[in-house]
Amino acid sequence: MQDRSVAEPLLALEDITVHYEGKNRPAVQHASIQIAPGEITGLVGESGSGKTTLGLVAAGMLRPTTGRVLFAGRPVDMQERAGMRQHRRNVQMVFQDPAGALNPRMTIGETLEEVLYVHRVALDMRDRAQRLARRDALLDAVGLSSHLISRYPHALSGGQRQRVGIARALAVNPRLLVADEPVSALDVSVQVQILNLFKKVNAELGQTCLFVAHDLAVVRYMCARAYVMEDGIIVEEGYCHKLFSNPGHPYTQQLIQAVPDVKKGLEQRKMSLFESD
Amino acid sequence: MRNDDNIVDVQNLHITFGATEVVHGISFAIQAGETLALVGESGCGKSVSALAMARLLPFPPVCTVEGKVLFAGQDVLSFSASRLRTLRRSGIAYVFQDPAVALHPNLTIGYQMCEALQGSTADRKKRAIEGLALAGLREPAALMKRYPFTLSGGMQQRVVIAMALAREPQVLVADEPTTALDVTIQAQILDLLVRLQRKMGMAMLLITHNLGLVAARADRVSVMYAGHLVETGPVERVLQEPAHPYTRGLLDVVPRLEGHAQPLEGIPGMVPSAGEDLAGCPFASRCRYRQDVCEVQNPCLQPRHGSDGTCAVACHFPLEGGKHRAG
Ligand SMILES: Nc1ncnc2c1ncn2[C@@H]1O[C@H](COP(=O)(O)OP(=O)(O)OP(=O)(O)O)[C@@H](O)[C@H]1O
Ligand SMILES: Nc1ncnc2c1ncn2[C@@H]1O[C@H](COP(=O)(O)OP(=O)(O)OP(=O)(O)O)[C@@H](O)[C@H]1O
Ligand SMILES: [Mg+2]
Ligand SMILES: [Mg+2]
Repeated sequence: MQDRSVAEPLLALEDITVHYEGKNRPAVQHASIQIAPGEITGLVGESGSGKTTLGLVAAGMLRPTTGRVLFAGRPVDMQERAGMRQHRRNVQMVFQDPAGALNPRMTIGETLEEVLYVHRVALDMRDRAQRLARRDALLDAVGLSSHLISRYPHALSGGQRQRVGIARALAVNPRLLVADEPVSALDVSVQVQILNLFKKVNAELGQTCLFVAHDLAVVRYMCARAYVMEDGIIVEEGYCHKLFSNPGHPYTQQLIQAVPDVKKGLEQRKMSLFESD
Repeated sequence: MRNDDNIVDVQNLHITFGATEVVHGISFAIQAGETLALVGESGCGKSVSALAMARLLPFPPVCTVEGKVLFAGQDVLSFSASRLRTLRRSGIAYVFQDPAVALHPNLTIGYQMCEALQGSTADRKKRAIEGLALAGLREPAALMKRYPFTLSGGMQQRVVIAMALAREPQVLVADEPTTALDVTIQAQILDLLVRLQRKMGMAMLLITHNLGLVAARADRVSVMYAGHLVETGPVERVLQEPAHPYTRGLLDVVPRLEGHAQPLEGIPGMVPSAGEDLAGCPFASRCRYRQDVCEVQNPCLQPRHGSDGTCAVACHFPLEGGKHRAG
């Protein structure tokens, strides 16, 4: 049941090519992906395969050299300012390094208030009281206790900072969240908390998400469908349960081999013991 | 465990920063040719314990180290400055998480490799090139002339490994050597380390927070929690039948390739902060099997039943067969 198209994708990237200036090879070549509303779609590949580049295109933060971006069926005009601004509010990004993505001179309360203030008209939150209530609701939604409101980013743990990053992205009610390796910098025990937060936001708010990762087991845990990217090219796509139990492309197999899996690791030990005998 | 084959034998190590003790009397030993994995969440004391082995921590009063660190039978903590230099030069080598820190940005790879070696210039150059090739780097001769920033993270880490191994150390400490890299490169770098380690007969201390990385590559594993050693033993036994609920928790947070019918539960709560006064078991507040005694008495590390002294656990109610005994 590897259907190649999603019935009504929220976001579709069509035949996207991105050629950075001064590079011989395009970072992304003829990539097409579709993101179904209400789902978490995975994008997986090695470092340098072009995942971030494609994520930036999806978020309207990078203009592709060629190709089209369709949001809710309508082409996004990358040249037109008002349309772009609208698109950038519809699509929010969460980054890998939560420290680098937050203003070090703002408390986390101020960080959230600022986003809400900037978008007060679109959000219909002209009253400060409304915004403060929303701020508290956001902190609650991402599992941050309210006594952290006056802390600066440096006084938070990596996991707490990532929660702030997610709260800030959710603040403007985006239709799509692009999460670019949001857990790769975190400890395994914190990683699972953040993964579960994304799942909760998806289940409770119906938040659509493009989830970028290099660890296939993480994508397997998070996503129903996923795209596999190698050297700028989408080499395979499908439902995760099939994609990862029965990969069609050698590159996907290679990624599976690399997953740090306890069970597989213990099996490998047995095999290498035989070999050395 | 007393054993003359131990190249490193750390006994009752206490590490204190200012007035805060962060490592509370841990012991571990590594034999030549063996890999010990040191595992635990951020801040539990893995790095400082490893740094104490080569006296790389700040001096008192900033930091005090107590206990014994025997290197080939000699107590490192009483080494003179010149013996310490020898130890750091050819005894213990470190590979850290971020390769960029270990490489000087304005010097070529070749210069930095040769600096790590001894002998005539021509000889050093030859061995530098061999070392880079051994670390799986292609066109090593051309690489010698390049600067670190022109290399990817994975290539930089290979250079750092080549530099560390060029000195033919007896012990290699790999402190989260792959956390900054993607999983494919992670697997390649770890396999490289293990292969070179076996070939050269070094002992290795592999530090990580991911038990998935340990499974295929280490011989024994020691699990740390909040500055205490809570479980130790051969990898197969500890990962298949963990006795400490914390080890069980660490195993359960790694997403599995085969997928999950139920959401992963994670380990509730947070690591106690260093210096927090804990009367009982440091893990008690996060442990779902906690009982009254756990709150008041810190369990000591004790041999596990039927393990011939190879496994030990610090828990009042250790799991059996990886599971809690009901009642
Ligand atoms: N601003 C830029 N200018 C020039 N080249 C770039 C730029 N950003 C990325 N690239 C190049 O484009 C390619 C794809 O990079 P990209 O960051 O999209 O990959 P990625 O899959 O996100 O990798 P990672 O896992 O390391 O984040 C790489 O070769 C990279 O060096
Ligand atoms: N130079 C220092 N001064 C004061 N405290 C320190 C110093 N270095 C480490 N610590 C403290 O010692 C404790 C153990 O730190 P350590 O770096 O060993 O943790 P770790 O287990 O290696 O964690 P991670 O996985 O984050 O690297 C922490 O509470 C840390 O804050
Ligand atoms: Mg990226
Ligand atoms: Mg560390």
